[in-house]
Amino acid sequence: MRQVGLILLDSVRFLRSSSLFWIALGLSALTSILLFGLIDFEPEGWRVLWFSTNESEILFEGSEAARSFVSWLFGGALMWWWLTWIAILVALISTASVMPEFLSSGAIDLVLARPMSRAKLFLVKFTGSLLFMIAQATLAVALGYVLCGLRFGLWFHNAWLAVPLVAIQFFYLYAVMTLAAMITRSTLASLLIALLFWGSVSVVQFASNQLDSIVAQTQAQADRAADRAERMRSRAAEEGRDLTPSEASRVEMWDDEADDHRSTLESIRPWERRIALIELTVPKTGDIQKIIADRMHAPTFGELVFILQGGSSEMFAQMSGMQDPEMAADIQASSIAGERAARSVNAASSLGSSLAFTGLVVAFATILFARRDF
Amino acid sequence: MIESPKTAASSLALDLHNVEKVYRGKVHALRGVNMQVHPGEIFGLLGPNGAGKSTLVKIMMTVVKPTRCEGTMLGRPVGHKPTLGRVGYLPEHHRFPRYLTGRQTLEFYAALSGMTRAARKRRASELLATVGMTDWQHKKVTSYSKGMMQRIGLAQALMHEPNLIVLDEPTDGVDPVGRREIRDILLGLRLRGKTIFLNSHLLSELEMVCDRVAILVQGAVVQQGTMDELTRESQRYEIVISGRPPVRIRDDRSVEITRESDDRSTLAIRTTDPEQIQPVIDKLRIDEVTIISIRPARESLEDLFMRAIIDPETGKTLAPGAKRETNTS
Repeated sequence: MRQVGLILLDSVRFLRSSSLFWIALGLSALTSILLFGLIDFEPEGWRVLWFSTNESEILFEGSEAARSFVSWLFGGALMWWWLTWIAILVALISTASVMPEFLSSGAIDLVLARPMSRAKLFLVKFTGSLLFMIAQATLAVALGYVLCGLRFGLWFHNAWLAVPLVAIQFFYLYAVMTLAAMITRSTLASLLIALLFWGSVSVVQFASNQLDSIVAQTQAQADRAADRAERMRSRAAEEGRDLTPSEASRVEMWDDEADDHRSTLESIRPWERRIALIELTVPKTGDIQKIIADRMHAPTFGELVFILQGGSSEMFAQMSGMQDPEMAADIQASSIAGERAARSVNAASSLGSSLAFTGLVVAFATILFARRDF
Repeated sequence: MIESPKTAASSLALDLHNVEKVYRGKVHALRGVNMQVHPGEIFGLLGPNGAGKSTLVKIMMTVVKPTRCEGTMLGRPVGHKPTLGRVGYLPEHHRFPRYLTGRQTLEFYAALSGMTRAARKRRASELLATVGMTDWQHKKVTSYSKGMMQRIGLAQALMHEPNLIVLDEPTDGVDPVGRREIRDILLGLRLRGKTIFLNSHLLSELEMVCDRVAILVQGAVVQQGTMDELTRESQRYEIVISGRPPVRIRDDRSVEITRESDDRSTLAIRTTDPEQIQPVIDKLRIDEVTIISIRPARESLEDLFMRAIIDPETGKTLAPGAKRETNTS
């Protein structure tokens, strides 16, 4: 136990000596302060810093839109862009040299010649590097939590879930980087392999998200077209008459549209299954962002825009130049449905399969470490 | 009472039998090494580059896995991890974490060996003073010179009061004053009953401190024993006289003239018994030859080493490096 504690303490010393760690920590703090310190809500609207208040009937102190906006800032902007992308990238760069230095000739001899099993030594050293990400995430979340609570009266307790979740995301990638370090013993090579791996799984997840989004949008459009056609038929039936030629033409158009969408869906389904199968076997780094946003009830960007427009599609229609408000509403709704579908995730399945993959990677790296000559 | 082999083994600090290591690519680094180190002695391992010295040390310290290894270290099988808590180790070209100070380095490795916090603090202070690094204890190791790194390295190997201390090139990069200090430390440790296993290229250093040595050539021990045992054949008395040897001496078959000139000559008598040189001295006296000096002499470790690495078949120095297995079918 003494040895375990000391190796973890050694990891803390390593962090303290790393300038990148302090820079990243400072940037984490700055990001939280900028996101939640610059904007303020008042009873009659909102303002940025000391500038004059922008009067609004939608976005004002205590409004649902204000809550949605802040939760989007927290669960979307801070978590999504900063913690699960930039901070993890910085953490990977900062810790890339840990294993190659540990494994280098002259350094590894000193630690292997101790009364401690190789597997234990390796696993404790590996775990120590996760402290980097835990420290970053804790600071960012703590600042965000306190600032949101004090400034807006919104206490996002679920935000704390981000600390272990972001650490898990880092764990996925750090495991791959460690295995690469075991094989190559090179800082640069292991970092590049980890980044390449991250890029590859992100591409798989991007493809999966896009397919989910397209399927959801297409399904929504097919349902709406079919619904419209059905409503027009029902109305004519209720009125005890046949469809007029004009109505018949529109019903036929909607039926065709619904059929087209269904046909598109059929052609997408096999691809959806293939991508899902590939996705199942790799760590789902992108899902962490979704799980955090979901647990914080953060709206998607499309939902936020819809909320800030007062729940109406008029502005969307104006901005997109659409004459038919109903069609604009349909398109906006299907777009939001697509975003929702892309963000929906089964947390247990995602974390379970990803951790299983990562566990195998760590186990393989541990076996290599335990059996290798240094 | 006849001592069983097992009991005999446990009384040795290090008792290695049939140690073999074949690396990938069929590089036969060690070919059945047998080596015995007694408790309380300083044992020197020497050999040319690539002879397998570091591999052998790394096998002892569990850094390298042997292909085959029988024997014990401090009475337990080689590779027994808990035993390493009683072994101190300074590897060649050691590298300490760059973010640690000298004191933190000592305490870190001592804790890995299972020392308590209080014991670490006390022992670190003692050893920093012993190796002359007290003034530098709070400086980062990256600011140390090579010699300072060796001093800290030696101190970390001694932190947990080990019974067996394995040192790989401990005086590498150390200035002459530092070397002498390290030598004195090693001799002091021997006085306290510690066993020291020394791996070094500096034959003169080894000769000064080692009780026993082994010479490893191409993965096999070619010589092993005390300096007396290994140089017994070469032990002699050397008599330096002025001028050339008289006829009486030239006719004496027990005397070998190793150097001859009008100024002075050197005579060698192959014996360790001073009684046996008295007749030669008498003969020199009779011929009124001036005796400049008489001294016992023997082969130096360097001579011994050079003799060990000469191929008896070709008369040339054996090629450095480990033997590679070849298919002879």
